[in-house]
Amino acid sequence: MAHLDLIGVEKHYGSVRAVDRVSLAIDQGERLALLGPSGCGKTTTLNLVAGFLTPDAGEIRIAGKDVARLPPHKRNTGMVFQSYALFPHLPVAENVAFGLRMRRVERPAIARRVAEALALVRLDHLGARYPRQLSGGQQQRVALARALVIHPEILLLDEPLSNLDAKLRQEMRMELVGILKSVGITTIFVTHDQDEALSLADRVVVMNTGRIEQAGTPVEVYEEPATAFVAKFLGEPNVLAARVASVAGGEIACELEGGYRVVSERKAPVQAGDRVEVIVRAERVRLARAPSGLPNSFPARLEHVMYLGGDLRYLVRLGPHRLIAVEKNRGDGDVPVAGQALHVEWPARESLVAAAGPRP
Amino acid sequence: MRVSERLAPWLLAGPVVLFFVVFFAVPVALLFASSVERVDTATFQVIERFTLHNYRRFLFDRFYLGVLGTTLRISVLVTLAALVTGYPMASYLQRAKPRERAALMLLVVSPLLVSLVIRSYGWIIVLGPLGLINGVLSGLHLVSAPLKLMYTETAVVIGLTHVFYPFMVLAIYSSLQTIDPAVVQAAQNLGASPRMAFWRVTLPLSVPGIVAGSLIVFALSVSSFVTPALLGGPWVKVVAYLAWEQNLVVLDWPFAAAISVILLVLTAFVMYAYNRFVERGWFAGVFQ
Amino acid sequence: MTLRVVTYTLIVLLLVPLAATVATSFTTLSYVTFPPQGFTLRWYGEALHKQEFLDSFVLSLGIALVTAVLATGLGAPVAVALVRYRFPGRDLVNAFFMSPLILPTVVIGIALLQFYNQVRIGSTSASLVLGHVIVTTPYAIRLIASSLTGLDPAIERAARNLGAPPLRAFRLATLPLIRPGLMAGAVFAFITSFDNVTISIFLATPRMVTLPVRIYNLWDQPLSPWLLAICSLVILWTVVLIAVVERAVSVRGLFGAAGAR
Repeated sequence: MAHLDLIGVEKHYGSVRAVDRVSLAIDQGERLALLGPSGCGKTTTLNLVAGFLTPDAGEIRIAGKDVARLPPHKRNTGMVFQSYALFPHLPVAENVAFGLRMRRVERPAIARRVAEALALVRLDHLGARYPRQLSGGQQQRVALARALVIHPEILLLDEPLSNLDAKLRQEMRMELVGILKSVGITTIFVTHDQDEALSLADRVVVMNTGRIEQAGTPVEVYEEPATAFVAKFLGEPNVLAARVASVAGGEIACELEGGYRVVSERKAPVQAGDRVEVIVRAERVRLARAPSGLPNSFPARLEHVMYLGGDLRYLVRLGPHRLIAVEKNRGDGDVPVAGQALHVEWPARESLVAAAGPRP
Repeated sequence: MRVSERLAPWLLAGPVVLFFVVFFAVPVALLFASSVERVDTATFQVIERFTLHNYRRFLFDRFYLGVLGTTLRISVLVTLAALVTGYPMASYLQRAKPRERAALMLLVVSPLLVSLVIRSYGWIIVLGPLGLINGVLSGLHLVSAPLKLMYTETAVVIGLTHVFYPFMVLAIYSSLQTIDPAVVQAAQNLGASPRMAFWRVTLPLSVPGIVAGSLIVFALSVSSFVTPALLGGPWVKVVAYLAWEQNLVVLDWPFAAAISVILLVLTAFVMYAYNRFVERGWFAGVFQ
Repeated sequence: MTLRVVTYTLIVLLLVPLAATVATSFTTLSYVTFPPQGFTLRWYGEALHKQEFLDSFVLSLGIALVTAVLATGLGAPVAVALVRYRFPGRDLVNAFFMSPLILPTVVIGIALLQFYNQVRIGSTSASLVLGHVIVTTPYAIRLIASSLTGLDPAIERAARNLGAPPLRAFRLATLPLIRPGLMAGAVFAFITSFDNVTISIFLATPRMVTLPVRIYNLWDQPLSPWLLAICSLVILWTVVLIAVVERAVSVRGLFGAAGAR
């Protein structure tokens, strides 16, 4: 039995299906990320688990018990809100103690557990401060301590790092993963930031228009995208309009405008003559001075080089098409210059073929 | 900065400042000056230029102190009544859907647009011996003789609560609006029932609105004059009524001026508390 | 759901005195009693023949109109100075213009009455208007200032940058955008002036009595149905006014921006 089960959960707003037949099983101690663009239903799903919304259909089971009709205060989930939602009128220690007081925990135990929780997030010295006297990162940690101290069945994190600046976000990401691992708590977090999802979660669930597009390990969803949406949502995709020329022996050959012939080794439910999109991630596109024998290798012209310090981004023109290629800047000096003629190349397994569909 | 830029605000505001000095600041200053004069009430001649006679007369007289007591008592009751009825209204407004909220808000606020004379006459119809309440009570045979509601402190409290109600509702409503809804959700997520979340989170966070609304309503009640005169008649005298009486009936202007100054000091004190609380915040560490 | 019941009960209670006034004005009896008996418009006919009330209505209307124009005209430059410029004494000027709202209205009434008598201006329609202007201009300043505050000053600078001289830049780029604030200020001043009793009681003379004071002065007489007809007409007039004004400026916005008092 999974620790948290969502079975055919639906939530409608008028004719809009915010959450559409979502089924998920999350194991004890697993960290699961709900990833998707805004409006994909990930926050609604989180609110359904927390009990701020009631599903229109389906079951939500925590440790086997159906909680779909229970009010939020009887669910024993610990939530970290996007805005942190700290109680502005209570000092930090009282914020953390709130859930324990609601559970009528005895005073000495409250004091001990609050101290432990604050120590866990390295804020033991700030218990007497008020939330507004803390930095964003500190507030975030108070919110985490407040949610963990009640020993919830499930920890829910709503865009946990979105309110922090870029540098602090990196630091907090490391710290958060450390804390979650040491506590070993079942966690669901919602994010629209793929780096966050891929780096924090054991399993990533990519959602779109209320439905699950793909659920899998970070490596699976990134390397083996199940749908065109996933392929285009993760990483930095180049999307090329094409027509299938032939499907034979596990190889799909596509023809691009201008006579370019792109080969893919990936499976796709397409047949010769279909209009498709060929998707290639920018960091998988290589630039070469001469063809190196890869099946996808085309003469091209470098239009623009963008110097980003750690990375180099290239805008490459391939007849009527434009491709973006990203390389690490290793500092070995051999940076091509705009206007240069060169070859763009990628392996056959890096081109993903999908029926022409909407962009994420 | 160019000279014209520096002069601009004074060119804009200066003439209006001058106008307000002449027709507002000077009259109020003269009121202070007049309050320390003493006139012979038979001849209306000034007999003393600088004396605290008028203040002594007010502050050491049982009758006037009684009127002050009545005024304060009425104001406290009005404040409490407005608070107790205003909070549920404000909290409902906060939760209502936008259309319902807009409609209710209009209904709450629109009585303010009707002159308070007319609103007070409305209460005479409701509270009078042949009025609505007595009509209903005697119709149900609950009373044999009409209850005396008019010309009582109760009538004045009801009338004033009605007059100042919107200020309380708006003050509480605006403080409720500043509360992040996620904070209330957080309380529930941590195990607080909706009732508990209200007592532990929503109510404490709306204290600024409660205090602001109460101070405003109190200050307005203390200096109110028309409603007490109409609903309390000569039997329920308030400080503002005394000032009017001394000024227009007895024609003892210095005494009227002194009563005005006392009223002014009273409201100034409340407004000072208001500023301290709302703008600087007594809970400096707590509220943004 | 009990909260909903409480709320709607309170709304009814808020409207009871006004509803009772209107209901009773149709009574066929010649004295006021509840429930009213029968239905007649007779008292309205009688009310419309009370010449002194008609005169008072016209006087109140005129005073309110002039007050609205003056309050907006005086308030606008002050609002611009307070919002657009940082100058020494700005806080003081701001506090000074808000002080008529903090002072009890009775006190202002007495102060003005004594002042007019001391400088021997006496009570004229001009002195009534002056009193009303003092208590309404602060609202106009606040309402205009709040519409200015929400305005990006870069818009006027853009006009200047494109070659407009200062006054034209203000007229072309800023004025159209603060028109709602000016409208709101004028409307608020008009209503506040039209309803005002407390200042008017002190400044009225036997020959110059505004409508609310005229109604107030009957306090010591038994309530008569024709007076309720007059009150009902004023309520009707207010409702029409709200309906007209609500399209241009939200009534709630008026009170929101005008602040507590």
